[in-house]
Amino acid sequence: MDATTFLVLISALLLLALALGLPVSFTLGGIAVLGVLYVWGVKGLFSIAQTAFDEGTNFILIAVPLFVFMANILRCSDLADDLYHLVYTWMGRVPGGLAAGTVVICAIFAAMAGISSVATVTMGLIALPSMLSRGYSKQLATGCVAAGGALGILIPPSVIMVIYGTMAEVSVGKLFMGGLLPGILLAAIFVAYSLLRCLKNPSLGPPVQERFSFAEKLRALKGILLPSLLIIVVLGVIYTGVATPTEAAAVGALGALVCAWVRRRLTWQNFNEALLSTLSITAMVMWIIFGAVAFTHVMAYAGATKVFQDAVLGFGVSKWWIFFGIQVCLFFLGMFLDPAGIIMLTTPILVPLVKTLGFDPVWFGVMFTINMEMAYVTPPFGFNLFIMKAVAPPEVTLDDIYKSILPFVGLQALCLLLCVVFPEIALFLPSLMK
Amino acid sequence: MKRSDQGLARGFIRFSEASNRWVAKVTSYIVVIMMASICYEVFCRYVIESPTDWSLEINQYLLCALSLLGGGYCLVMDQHVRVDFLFRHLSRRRQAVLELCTWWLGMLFCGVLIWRGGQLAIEAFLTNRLSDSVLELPLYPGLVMIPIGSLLLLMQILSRMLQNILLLRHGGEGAPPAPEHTFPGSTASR
Amino acid sequence: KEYVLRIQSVYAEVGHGPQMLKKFAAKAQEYTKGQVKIQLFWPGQLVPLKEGFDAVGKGMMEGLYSCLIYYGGIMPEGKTEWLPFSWRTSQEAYDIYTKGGYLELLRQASAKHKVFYLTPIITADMGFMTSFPVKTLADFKGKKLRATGVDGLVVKTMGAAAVTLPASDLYISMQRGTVDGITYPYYTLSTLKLNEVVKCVVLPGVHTPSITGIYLNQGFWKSLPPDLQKLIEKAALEVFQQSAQASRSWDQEGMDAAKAKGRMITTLPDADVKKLRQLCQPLWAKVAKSSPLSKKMVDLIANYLKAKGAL
Ligand code: NA
Ligand code: NA
Repeated sequence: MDATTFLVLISALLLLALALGLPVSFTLGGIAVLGVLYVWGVKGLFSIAQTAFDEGTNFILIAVPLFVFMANILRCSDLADDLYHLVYTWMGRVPGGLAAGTVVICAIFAAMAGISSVATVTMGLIALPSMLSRGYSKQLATGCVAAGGALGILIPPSVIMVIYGTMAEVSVGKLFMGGLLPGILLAAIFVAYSLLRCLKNPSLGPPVQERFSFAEKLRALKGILLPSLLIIVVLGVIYTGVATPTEAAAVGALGALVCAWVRRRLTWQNFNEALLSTLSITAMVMWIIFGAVAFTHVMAYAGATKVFQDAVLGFGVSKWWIFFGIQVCLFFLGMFLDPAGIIMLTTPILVPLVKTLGFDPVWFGVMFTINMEMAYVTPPFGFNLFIMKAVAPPEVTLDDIYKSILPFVGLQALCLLLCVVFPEIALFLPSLMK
Repeated sequence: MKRSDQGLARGFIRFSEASNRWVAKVTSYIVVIMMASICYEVFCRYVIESPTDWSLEINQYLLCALSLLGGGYCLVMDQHVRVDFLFRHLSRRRQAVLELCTWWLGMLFCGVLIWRGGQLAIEAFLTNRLSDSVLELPLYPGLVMIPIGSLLLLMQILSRMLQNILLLRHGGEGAPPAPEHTFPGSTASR
Repeated sequence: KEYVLRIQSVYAEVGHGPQMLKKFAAKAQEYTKGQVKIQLFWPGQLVPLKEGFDAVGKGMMEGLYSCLIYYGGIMPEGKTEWLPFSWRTSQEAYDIYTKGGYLELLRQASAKHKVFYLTPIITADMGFMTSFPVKTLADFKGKKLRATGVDGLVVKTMGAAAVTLPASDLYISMQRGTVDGITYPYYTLSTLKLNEVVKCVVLPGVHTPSITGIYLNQGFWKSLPPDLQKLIEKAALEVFQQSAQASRSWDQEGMDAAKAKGRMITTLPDADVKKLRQLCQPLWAKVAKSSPLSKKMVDLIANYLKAKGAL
């Protein structure tokens, strides 16, 4: 069997097992074992165990459990309630104002946590029922929460960027800075979209009737205090050099604990639940990584990098067509796979290719992350969609959620396009880091 | 399946779940140690200007333990992500059959990790392999997490297979929960 | 009969060392008239970085391009290649390996791990690069310096604090002041754009030059017919020689990058260098203690340097 046949076969096997509903980590790991046995023989199986040890002791991945823990603690504190109350009192009377405000809160959460599920869960629990009960359309309400939550990986800090940076040997600090403006841009696009839709058709997001006095509005402002402090701490320690981006995760987790404690939400039960959930999510991510890296070793041993590069370069098309092709491939992978797995699978092939073609790896990393924003929300496998289903009121069906997300995917693609046409959006801040 | 075998199977299922839950309870506190030790390192380096030389490496070992030992618990909570757009439309019995057909790949993965990982750990212990850092810590405590964690996960996969067999043979009772993408805390009081 | 030799490099393809590796691959294939087919792999493609030595010993791949300091916990003799302030030039290093019998000792040591030490490849000088001005050794007192392995101990003996950071955090840590200095190859001033964040380059380096190497699976090596072994060794020796010359131009490249940004380049006073060498002797002794072979190697290097009047 030649390299190309083998690679096609093993990829087909992978897709089949995934489609049959086998957990992603088992699929990658199990097929890696079969692949190793075929191309490498029994002695190659050592690489599977060595990979688990190497990735398990990977310093940069230490950020993963810490960011997840921070998210879980934030979820059990009532910071989100306060923020939502703020939005409600200030923006409730604008058509679509609650949706727009929800996106803003999601962006603020994104600046605190490195994963997408924090804002999705919290806003799904708090903002979604409130919007629905005030006559907001299901589609707008669920869509803005699911897509807004995904901002968590684009606005720094970001676990996805940390993993990408490790695999691609790109400065994580630069990636963080690179994601900030596109993240703000994307949030702004979501806000504009929500307001414009409701301006044209107020029945999608009717204004709140309740009136608030100015004093009440001022009082609501104090809700922003603790979250802003936390953002300043996390981004501040990175920016001032007190801690590396990895260490900032630990500082942020401690900060979240303090916030929860200040708000008297840090019960023993909350604390233990947060720990157990952190363990479970970390294990889920890490086992996917164990499997995915083992799988990429098989692909490399069989010569995938060369086959792929030859195939892409062999078309003889311009580098922008190749870039476009890569983004389309990533989009399709994103429909079926988790972003962490996509990074492991594709970076060993993509990054050399991108460098060969002369693209800036930092810029490409940001484009990659925007593409992964879509992966979180595209059906059929969209992590945020499943979270939405889990936390939304029962009258919201999975089909509602699938439909709700489509315009937002389009907006994410628009943001990606803008950053391609105006690369400065992604590169301006990293270029200041000199 | 005979009645006594059934009892044995149910016993194993309970044992596997209980041990994974217990291990998870203990292991989850590693997160606190990680957070505290890294914050302490930042404090030592920035405030008293004398960084520790153990924080980084200890945390690498802790991450290794956390991620490997949590695999089984993650399956107890049914949180290993999966693509279920076909799967969720099937009946419970068909789901059970499908899982019996595919989950051996997971067992294969765990089996290799137990075998080769165990071998690496034993070798590291016998030849006294050390890390390449200033600390020169022995490698085996990290390596030994591979077979232990994989064994915990393998037990849970086996227990799930048994649940599926019990479902097919004896119906309803003992079946695995329908895979759903629930998020921890989604049923929490708030 | 055709032999396939798969070599994984722990250094990214763009680096200087891998260019020498590519040269070796080309030469070896040419000399053996294609009887040995060499396939190169890049970091992490086949096995993880830290596991490379083990993987070659176990025959998961036939060759590895790396440096032995990563595997000091497995093969302590490898640390003798990374003694701080030992050989002073690539010529001295070349002499010690080829004429002094050092390479033979290394081969004995690696054979115990089923690895054949084919050849060292000289990369370049590495030493301190700081964000504070340095004039003398005393300026290092109380600073935070990123250094790994033996260099961490050097940093401590200099009265500074050793910080361990992953290489991926180097740039941002220097820029943001998380650390005050690093030990790293000087050419990264140009290749990793460290000249943007480094204020002062300190000479002489700690490792002048640092040594990487090509290591082969012992079984694979023995399976080759003697004539092929000879041809491959010939290719290896030539590349080793070339690397000794090339390393100087890499150092120069780094220095040029520093000068282009107007960075300070300090050469420590002779008295300080002597003092540093003395401070490092206990570290040498520690390495020598790790095994009888290590002791032989450290003695061999020390005797050579004594004869040259450097110790
Ligand atoms: Na974020
Ligand atoms: Na998706």
